[in-house]
Amino acid sequence: MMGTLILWLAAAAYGVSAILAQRTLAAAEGQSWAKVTRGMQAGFALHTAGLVIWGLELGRCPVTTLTESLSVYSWGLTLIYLVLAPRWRIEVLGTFCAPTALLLLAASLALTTRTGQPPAPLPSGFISLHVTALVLGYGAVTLATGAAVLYFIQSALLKRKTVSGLLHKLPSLQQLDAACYRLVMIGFPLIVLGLVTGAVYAQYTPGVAWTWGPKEIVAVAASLLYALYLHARMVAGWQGRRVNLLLIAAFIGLVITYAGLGILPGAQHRF
Amino acid sequence: MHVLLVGLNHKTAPVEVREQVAVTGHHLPDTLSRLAARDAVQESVILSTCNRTELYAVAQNSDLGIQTLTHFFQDLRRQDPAAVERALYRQTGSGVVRHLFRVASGLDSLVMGEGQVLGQVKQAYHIALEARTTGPVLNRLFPMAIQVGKKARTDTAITQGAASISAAAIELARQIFGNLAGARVLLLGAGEVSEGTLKQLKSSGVRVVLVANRTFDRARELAMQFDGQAVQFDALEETLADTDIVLASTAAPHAVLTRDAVAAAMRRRKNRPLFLIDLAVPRDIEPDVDDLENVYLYNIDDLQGVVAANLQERRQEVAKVEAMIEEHHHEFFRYFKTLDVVPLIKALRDQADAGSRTQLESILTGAAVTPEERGRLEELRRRLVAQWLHGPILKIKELAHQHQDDALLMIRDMFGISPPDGAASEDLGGDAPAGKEAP
Repeated sequence: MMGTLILWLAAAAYGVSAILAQRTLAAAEGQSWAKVTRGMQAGFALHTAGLVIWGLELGRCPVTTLTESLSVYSWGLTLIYLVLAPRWRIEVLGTFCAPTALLLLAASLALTTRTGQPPAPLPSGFISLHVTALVLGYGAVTLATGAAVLYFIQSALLKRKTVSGLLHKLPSLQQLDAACYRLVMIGFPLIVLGLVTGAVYAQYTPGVAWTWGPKEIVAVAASLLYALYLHARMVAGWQGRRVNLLLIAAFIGLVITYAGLGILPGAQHRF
Repeated sequence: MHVLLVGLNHKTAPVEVREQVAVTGHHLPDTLSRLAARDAVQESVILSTCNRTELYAVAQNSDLGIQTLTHFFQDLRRQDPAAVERALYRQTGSGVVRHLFRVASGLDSLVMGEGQVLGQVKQAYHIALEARTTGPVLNRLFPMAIQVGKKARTDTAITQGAASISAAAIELARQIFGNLAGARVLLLGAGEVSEGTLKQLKSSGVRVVLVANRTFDRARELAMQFDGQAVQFDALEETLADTDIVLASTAAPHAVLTRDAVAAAMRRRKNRPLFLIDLAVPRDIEPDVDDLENVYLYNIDDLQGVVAANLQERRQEVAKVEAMIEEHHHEFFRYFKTLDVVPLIKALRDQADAGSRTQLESILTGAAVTPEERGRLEELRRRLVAQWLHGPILKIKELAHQHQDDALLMIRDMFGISPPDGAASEDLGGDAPAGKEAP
């Protein structure tokens, strides 16, 4: 399929960006992240084109199978990175974002070649909104987790008083902390929106019922955990490592839950 | 034609000797003119900073030039000429070029990789340019040195990383807070280093300064000096809740900030990051404060460790800078070589012109020629000379480029043009004729 070919090219672009990102991090100071950003932009353009062609070939929005949703998750993550990272000067997150985007897209493509025919199409519109909201929401909190990891590294370096070159290349502690916070502020409502639209769709569509499958559990758990984080930051005003640890723990928990529960049979969620 | 250097610096002379020969900016143009007036000196630049005074010159005769420069040094001040003489180093040719490039890159400075010296080299050159004491050699050498200095800064990490305690503190503050504009600083006690660091913090954007001192009057004094606010020493815990950076250097024999006090303050400020800089000995802040979440405590040893680590990294960049210097050194000498043949080419042209004019005059004596015809014959003469010499001149430049000194010597012989003193055929990578090499 033409779409698949273009998506492989997108994955290649992400791969190149990932390598460039590691190089920029390791290089002498003053290296700009522009090349990494451009690589990601090229990858994103190809990725978008590939998804559009996929959609045209399938006759629907390509968001319903596992392989498709992995690809779209990768796409959403990259979109958020490209929009926000340069603005907030946290392009260094590219070292985390590019490999993740590559992995997700590659996984998606690898699965495509194995599974083959997707199930019967779901009506678009509402479903597209549901999936898009979740994809962007998860993309945002994934980046937030990346920022939280960098925060930990930065904090550890400062505490240990080992002033290496790495320290200089990372954005300031406050910047990373603010990025975590803002990304969750963006991601959390999107996840909730995705949950709600999913529930509404299940409610009002004959033949579709709300079931507690892994995706639903993960989405609800995510909403609760990130709501907790936001409460700790906003209302109680807490800052520091503990709060960002919550972010990382939440993310790991969600990934494990998703992977673990996905193995169990009985999942009703179509795709 | 030779490039020469005679000078002294912080490695060869203590400050008492350096200050004798230092030339302040005010007097520089006059001193330059005096130097340029010496017959042996064709071009000159004087570089005089608190760490070095160096005379760069171009002379036809290497020995005479070095002698002139050395005497000039002794004329600058008469207090202790022997000490000055002992501290002087001399360089010719390659040595001068390499030395100047190293100076401009910060490799010869007290603090490796420091940035001030590049500006000083620029200024020294511009003053000489305005005083018209430079010529084709130094007008190429100095801009090239400045370019090398710039490249060293941008292409290597030689100037990266804080090299002083104050700079290290600022760097760390930036790593924690990013933009310092919104940061609030508390000065506890007083002291040279902490006040210096506070000054730097202010110029980095910090706007709010609080000062606490055992004596409230002293606090007020300092607060006025730094455009800040004096606070009660007893109200430290409350003040801490509102501060982001603390500079502590009281003379107290015991800790002024306890772990409990800082912990309480952190609770009040919802755990926002706190940067504590303890410059006092004995320390002002209990060391286990560092264990607290989101508190970053650096004492004077820690900051010195940061500086040492940075300088170590700078040293590793030296090899890169040296490679850069070698490359530019070759580039300069390619140019220098072509300059050297300028007198030869001029002598050739003069010889051809003189000879052909004599012949033309002789043949036109007594002849009945109109001014118009005379003009035409003159034009013919000029064209013939130009056309005849065109090829040989190009060839001479090429030979110079290729360092074919024997061939050039033969051309001189052929046309009977005697080499000037200190001819081009001499090795331009000369060692110092007398005295020390630059350290």
